[in-house]
Amino acid sequence: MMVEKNQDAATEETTGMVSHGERRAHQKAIGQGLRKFFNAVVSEPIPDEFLILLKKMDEGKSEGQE
Amino acid sequence: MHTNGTSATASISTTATQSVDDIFREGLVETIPALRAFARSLCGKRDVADDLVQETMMKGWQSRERFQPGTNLKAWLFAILRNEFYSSYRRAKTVANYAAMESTKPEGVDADQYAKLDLTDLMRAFDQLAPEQREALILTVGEFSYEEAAAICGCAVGTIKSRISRARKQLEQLVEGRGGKLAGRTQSQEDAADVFLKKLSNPTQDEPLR
Repeated sequence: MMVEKNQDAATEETTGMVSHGERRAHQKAIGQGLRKFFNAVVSEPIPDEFLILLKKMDEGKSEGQE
Repeated sequence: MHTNGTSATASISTTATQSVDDIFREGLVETIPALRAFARSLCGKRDVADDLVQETMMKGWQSRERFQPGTNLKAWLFAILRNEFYSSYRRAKTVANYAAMESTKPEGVDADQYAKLDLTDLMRAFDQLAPEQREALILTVGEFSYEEAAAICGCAVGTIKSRISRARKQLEQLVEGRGGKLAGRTQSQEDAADVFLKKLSNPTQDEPLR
């Protein structure tokens, strides 16, 4: 609710030659673009260095406790 | 330091039940992709972001006894990553104020590049936002509610909401300011969004982002 209000206020400030509908389309596209970025990174394969680190963490743990 | 259950984890292969540490470790591994995405949105560069995630993993692992089982591990790890980021960010800021200013300078974009407004351009605009705005946007895109995002950032829900609203407005202005039309002068609004999305989609999918 609050967000929509803020966005409307923001829209009014900057509405020059861009219509309300266009702004809405822009905002929709921005949201989808950001989600796309996030999902693209999430679906990248995990680099080996992370798996090496996990292994080290495990080794460090058992060394410390035995 | 408590030692409950830790003796069992020394010989994982022989125990049927999972120890607290195993469960923690599993959760940690599951969260790596999302942590990498969050880190990349904060740092920009892939290698710097991955270093930050590794620091986060070590910090998280070292302080795993402070994690309350049953609460949101993902949010807990995101908060650690965020703290790590800001402590190095503040350090870097005092030393490299000049460099920071340089990096926010919009680079020259020629008419040709205006034409192909893709995800790279949106993210370039995104990089010009304040980190508080970037994290608010990405946290809420990446599966957290406003409330969870506020808890991770240690601020009020209203603050998260207004940061998002301002950030979105700025993004729109930044992309348009580069000469690109976010949605163009197309027939209907739906079409316009589709056109923009097509422009955003990077045809070279194999390349890692940024």
